Amino acid sequence: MAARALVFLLAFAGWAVFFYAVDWLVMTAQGLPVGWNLMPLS
Amino acid sequence: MKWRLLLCGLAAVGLAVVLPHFGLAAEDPGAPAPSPTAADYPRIAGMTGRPVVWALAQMHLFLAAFVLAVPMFVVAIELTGVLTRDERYDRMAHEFMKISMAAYAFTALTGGALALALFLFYPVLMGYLLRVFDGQVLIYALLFILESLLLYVYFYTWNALRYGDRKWIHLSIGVLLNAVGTTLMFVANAWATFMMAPSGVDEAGTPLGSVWAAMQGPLWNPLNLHRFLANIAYGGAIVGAYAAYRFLAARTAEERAHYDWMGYTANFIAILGFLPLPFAGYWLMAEIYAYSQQMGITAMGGVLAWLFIIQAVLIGSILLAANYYLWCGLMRTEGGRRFVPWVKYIAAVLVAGFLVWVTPHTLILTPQEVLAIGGTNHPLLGPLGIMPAKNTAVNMMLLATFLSFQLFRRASRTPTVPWAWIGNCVIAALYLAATLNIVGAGIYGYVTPTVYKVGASVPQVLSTLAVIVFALVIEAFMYRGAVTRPVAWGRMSTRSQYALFVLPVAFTWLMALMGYIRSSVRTYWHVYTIMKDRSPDAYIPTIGEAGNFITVITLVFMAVIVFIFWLSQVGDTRQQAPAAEGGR
Repeated sequence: MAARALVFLLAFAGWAVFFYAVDWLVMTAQGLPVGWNLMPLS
Repeated sequence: MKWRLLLCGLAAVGLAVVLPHFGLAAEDPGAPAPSPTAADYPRIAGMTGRPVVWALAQMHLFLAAFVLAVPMFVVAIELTGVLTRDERYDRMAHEFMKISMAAYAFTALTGGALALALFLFYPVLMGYLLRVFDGQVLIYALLFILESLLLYVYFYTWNALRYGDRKWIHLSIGVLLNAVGTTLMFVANAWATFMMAPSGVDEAGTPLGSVWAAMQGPLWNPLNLHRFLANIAYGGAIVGAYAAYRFLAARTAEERAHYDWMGYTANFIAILGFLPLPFAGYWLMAEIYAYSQQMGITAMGGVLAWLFIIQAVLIGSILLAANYYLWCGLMRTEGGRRFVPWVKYIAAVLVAGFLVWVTPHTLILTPQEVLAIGGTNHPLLGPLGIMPAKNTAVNMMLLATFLSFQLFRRASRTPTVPWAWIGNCVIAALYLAATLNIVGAGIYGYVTPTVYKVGASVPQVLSTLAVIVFALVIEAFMYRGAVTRPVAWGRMSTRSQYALFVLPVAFTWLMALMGYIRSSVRTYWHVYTIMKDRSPDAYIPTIGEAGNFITVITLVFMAVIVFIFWLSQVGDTRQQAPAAEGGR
């Protein structure tokens, strides 16, 4: 059970980083500059 | 039927060659777009052109979508049969083609009638389009002839080219048929998108000399992709209804099993085409907004916006029906029962998404209701009426549908690889991360300026696509050498088959509705900003009038489809020879 929880958490962290990177890149590629927290840069 | 088709083909070429010369011969190829007067729109038998052309164009489009789509997945199924050496695939592919063949003659007839109606009711517009697209209409007619020839060769050589190298020749004919069919559709799409977003002409509509430039409008490729995917989903839905019809009429267990499997395959094709469809639709709408913000607002924020609520109802119905069918299918295997408790959670996501999607931004209210609420926006439900909420709902519904599909696939297989539990953890984490990203991007839309709100819908789409792609890839490795449980084909409830009937009805209605919106965004222009429509029909009908018209067309098409199903079934029926009587 503990092994499953650990694998799940590691996988979740990996996917979270992946989606964060996708979000940042996609917004920037659309000409919408965003900061590290994905909020619009004024 | 072959002779009828030949005649239709000749008629199409004849129309293409002869009709352009009616009153058009004097047109200067370098002249600007003509400016027709009310006298240029003849009434025939008291009727104006719009209802006739609208009904014929829609009927032709339904049928054309179907007959172009079927050979696409038929070739894929035929190839699967060759690769797996399973004769069942080959038989099923042949049966799918049989339905398509019955529909082909109707497609040609409605196409010929549409061309005739267009030239009779809108001669000036057609003259201009012929001038812009030069001799392309002739190429279209020749492509149609080629499509007909290839279709007949593909269908009638099925048994003659069945095994070995000959089978590959047959498959090649199928690929060629699809290439011609897709080209045919792309050419026709270029005419439709030229009218919405003209290119290759100057501001006065004078052709700049290149047909290719006229074809390459900003909406051409988005429409090509959208129709390509929609055709596959639509074709799958219609043959699924045929399978359900035969399943319900089956008299033996073998027949039930065969048509159950056919219905499952058809539903799979419909979902496969449908899942990426909203994204293609999104691209098309984004390009419409980019081309003309006014046009985009007319569609989604103006007079046609309420029709998008009806669209939500129809798409929600399609997703509920497709999921319901998959859930019923879980009972075909012993392994499927363990997933049944999950169904209620998936259903909750679908229903919640459906409710968010159908929530309008501005309500139609009585003055008393406006006073009671304090405005036309409901304080609690109003925020659900804008795009971030809708995009979130749609993506969650698509994720839920994909999960249903995944559970269904897993019902009959048990993985044997030792790392299967890790794969499951990674997929579960993928779902959770994608869900949080989709919901988070939705909330983001409420706290950022409009351009960011619109921009944030792209990561939502990519999240859904990421789940589909990565989950399928991981499962492909995970289920290598998996133990397969027997599937009890035919063990399906009768009511599950009605879900297969819901799909084509909802799809047909949806296509009629969205086709109407796509065409109406031009408002009072034949060719947007270039050539005005000065006919008595140059207005956008009321929602009720359009809704009734769309519904009548849908009902007529469903009647045609029932007739086609009957034709296909009766083709398989053989009358028993009469018994010898009294020594005669």
